[in-house]
Amino acid sequence: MKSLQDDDLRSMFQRLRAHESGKAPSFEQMCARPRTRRAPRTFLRVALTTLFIAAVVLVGVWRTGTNQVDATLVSSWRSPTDGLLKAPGSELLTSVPKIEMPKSNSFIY
Amino acid sequence: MSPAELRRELETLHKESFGWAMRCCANDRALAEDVLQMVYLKVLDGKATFAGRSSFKTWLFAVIRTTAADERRRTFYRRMFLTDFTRSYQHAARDEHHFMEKDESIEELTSALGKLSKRQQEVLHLVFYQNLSLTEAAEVMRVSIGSARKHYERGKDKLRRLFKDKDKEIIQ
Repeated sequence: MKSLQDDDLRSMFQRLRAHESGKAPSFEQMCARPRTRRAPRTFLRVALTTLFIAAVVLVGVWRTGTNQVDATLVSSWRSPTDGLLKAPGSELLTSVPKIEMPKSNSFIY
Repeated sequence: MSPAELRRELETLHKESFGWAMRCCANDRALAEDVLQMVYLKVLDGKATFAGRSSFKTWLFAVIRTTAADERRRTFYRRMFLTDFTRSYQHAARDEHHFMEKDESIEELTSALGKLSKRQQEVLHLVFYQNLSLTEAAEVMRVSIGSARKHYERGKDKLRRLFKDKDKEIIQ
């Protein structure tokens, strides 16, 4: 069977075009139609955007405050098992030993 | 271009623009009328301005395509939230009546076109229905010429296959 050539396709599309162009409304009719109402939708969009921005700002402010409180809590936090790290004699590691001079030093001079 | 010239150009291209709007709105006649009216208002009110970088026809078709895409998206949301049920029901009834008036070959073509991808439908419509070149079709669709050619060839192949299958069914 012979497959469709470009010319066959074109003639089919042209038939469709002829069919549709007869049904198209006239240009004057299109211009005389009442305008599609856009104002309420635009107002709604602006209102929703404003609300969204306000909500984002509020959440941002609230979160900033919460973070400061959290930071304070972290700095003062102590582990409940801190006491277990204290071993007997651990103060020797954190202090400098004192070396006193013997009294018999005067004898040398 | 003066408003009077713009109006004259729009009037000259009106029937072709309506055919393109129908294709961009998936054959929803009422939506196509709304879209076309919006485009005319955009052009006449100066919201969409023709810079002369392409032909007036390709520019106008690109405006129709983007406006139709916006409107289809809005219609989708309206239908999703069930705010436009009555309107869509009326449209469907009217479009069905419109469809029944078509002759058989046109019906076959429209049903075969419905099985192609959106881009394939667009490029075939622009080339065969609107008699634009592939370069102009690419400009309207805002794609590269290579991409337009790919959609064009694939679309034609698919259409040929669909019509071949249909012929086989009739013979059997």
